[in-house]
Amino acid sequence: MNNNAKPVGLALTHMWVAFAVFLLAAVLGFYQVLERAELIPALTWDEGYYLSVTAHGVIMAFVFTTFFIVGFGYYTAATSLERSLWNPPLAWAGFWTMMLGVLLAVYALFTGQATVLYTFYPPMTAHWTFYVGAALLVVGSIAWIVIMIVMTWQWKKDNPGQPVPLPMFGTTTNAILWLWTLIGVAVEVVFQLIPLSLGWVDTVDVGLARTLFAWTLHPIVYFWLIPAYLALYMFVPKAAGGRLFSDEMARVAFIMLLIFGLPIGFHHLYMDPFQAAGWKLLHGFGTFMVAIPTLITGFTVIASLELAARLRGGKGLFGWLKALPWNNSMVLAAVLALLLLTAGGFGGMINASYAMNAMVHNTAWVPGHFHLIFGGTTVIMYFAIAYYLWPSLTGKTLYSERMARTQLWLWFIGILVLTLPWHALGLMGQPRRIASIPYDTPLVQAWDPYEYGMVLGGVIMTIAAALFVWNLFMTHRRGAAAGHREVEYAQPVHPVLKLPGPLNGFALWNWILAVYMIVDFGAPLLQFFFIETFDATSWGW
Amino acid sequence: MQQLSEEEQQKILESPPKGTLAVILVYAAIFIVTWLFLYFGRFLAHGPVN
Repeated sequence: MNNNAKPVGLALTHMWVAFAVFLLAAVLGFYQVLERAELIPALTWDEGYYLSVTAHGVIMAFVFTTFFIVGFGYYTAATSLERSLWNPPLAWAGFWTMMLGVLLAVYALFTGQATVLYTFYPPMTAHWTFYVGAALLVVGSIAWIVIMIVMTWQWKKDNPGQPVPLPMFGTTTNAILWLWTLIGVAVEVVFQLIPLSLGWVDTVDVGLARTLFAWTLHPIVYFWLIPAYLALYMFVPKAAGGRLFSDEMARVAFIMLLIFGLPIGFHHLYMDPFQAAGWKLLHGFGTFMVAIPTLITGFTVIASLELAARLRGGKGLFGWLKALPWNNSMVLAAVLALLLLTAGGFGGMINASYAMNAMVHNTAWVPGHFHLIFGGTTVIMYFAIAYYLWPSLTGKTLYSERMARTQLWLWFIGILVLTLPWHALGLMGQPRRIASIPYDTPLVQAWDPYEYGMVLGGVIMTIAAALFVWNLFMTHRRGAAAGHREVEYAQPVHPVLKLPGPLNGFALWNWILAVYMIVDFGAPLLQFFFIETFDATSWGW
Repeated sequence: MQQLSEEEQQKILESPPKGTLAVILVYAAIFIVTWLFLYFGRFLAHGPVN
C-alpha cells in the first residue's frame, strides 16, 4: 500500500497523546502505592491520594485507552482494507474534540475539584468541567465509530460476497461495542451529573446513576481488550513464523464479546440494594459466558503459536514451546499477556460468583484483579503493538529491540509483584480506594509487608513505563530512515473464501443485542421512575 | 530453523494441536485446584454470616 495513503500522522498523533498521558498516570500510580504504604511520611497526604487515584484512573481507563484504540483503529482500517481513510477531516475533528475534553477534565483534576475516583458515582460530585470534558472525550470518539462503520460498509459494497478482512472485522466489532457501551455513562453524565455539578438540581437518584454506570463499566473492559486480542490474532502468528489457526474462530470470539460483554454489568452491583437478586443472577450467568470467547482466543492463539513452533522444528507435547522465537517482542508479549490473562481471569471468576463475591467485595482484591487484566494483558499487548507499528509509522527501525524485550519482562514481573500482594490484602480484608487506615492494630500491621511488596512492584513498573516511552521517543527522533515497513497480517491455515452472513456483518447481532439489553436493563432502569423514593428523584428534577 | 518441504509444512499445518490441548489441560488443573482452595479454604472457612 502506498505510504501516502496511510493515516500515519493521525495514528501517530493519537498514539503519542496516549503514551504521554500513560507515563504520567504510571508515575501517579507509583505515588499511590507509596502513599498507602506510608513509607515516606512527607508523601502521606489524603487529598493528594484521592486526586491521584482519580487522575490515574481517568487517564488510564478513558484517555490512554481511547486515544490508543482510535489511532490504532484508523491505521488498521487503512492497512487491512488497503484503502485511504474515509473522511480524515472528521477524524481530526474527533481528535480535537477529545483533546478539548481532556483539557477540561485535566483542569478539574489538577485543581483538586475532581477527587471523585474514576467511577462516576454520585453523590460524590466533581466540577462541571470534569463531566463536560468526559462527555467531549466520548463525543470525539464517535467520529471514529462512524468512520470504522462507513469504511466496512463501503468495502463490503465494493467487494460483494467477500469476507471483510479479519483485522477490520475485529476493529468494527470494537467500534460497535463502544457505541453500545458509552450509552450508559453518557446518559448518566448528561442527564444527572452535569445538571448536578452545575447546581441546576440538588439531588439525583444514586441507584439510577449506579445502574447506568454499570451499563458501561464492564463492556468498557472489552473495548480495551479487543485491540489486544486483535494483535494476538493478526500479528502474533505471523511474528512467530506461522499462520492463524482459524479465522472463523476469531470472528466468533469477537461476536461473542460483543453480545456477552454488554449485558452483564450487575456483577458490579451484587452488594447494592436497589436491584433484585434475580437480575443480578441473570447478569452473573452472562458474566460467565464471557469466559467462552476468552477461551476461544486462548486456544486459537496458543494453537497458532504451536504451529509456528513446529514449523521451526519444535517437537513433543511441551517441547515445542522452546522453539518459539522468544527474542521477538510480539511473541514474547503474547505469551506474557496470556499468562496474565489466565491469572486475571481466575480472579474475575471469583468476582463474578454471586456468593464468593461477598468475600472480596470492595477489598484490595478488586484493583488487584483489574490491574492484572488491564495493566497486564491489555497494556502489554499495547506495548507490543507500538513496538511493531513504530517502524511502519515513523519509517525508522526500532531504537532498541533488546530494550523492548527487557521492558516487557520488567512490566510482567512488576505487575505480578504489584498485584499478587494486592489480591492477598483483599483476602485479608483490606478495603480499597482509601488513602490510609489509621488504626494501630495487629490486623493493619499485618498488611505492611504486602504493601512494601507493592511498592517494589510500583518501582519496577514505573521504570518499565519510562523505558517504553523512551524507546519510542528515541526511535522517532533518530535520523536514519529505514523506509516504512509494511504491516503484515497473519494468514489463516485455511484461507477464508466465503463466510455465512452473520460472520461477515453485524446487523443480526445488533438486533439480538438490542433485545438482550432491553431484557437485562429495561425493568431495572425503569423501576427508578415508578418506585417511591424519599427526597431523591430519578433525574434530579 | 530447519528447512521443510511444502509437503512437510502442510502436514504440520494440518496436524491437531496436541501441545495446545496439553497446555490448556495444565491451565485447567491449576484453575480447579486454586478455585477449590479459595472456595473451601477461604470462602467457606469464613463461616456463616452472623
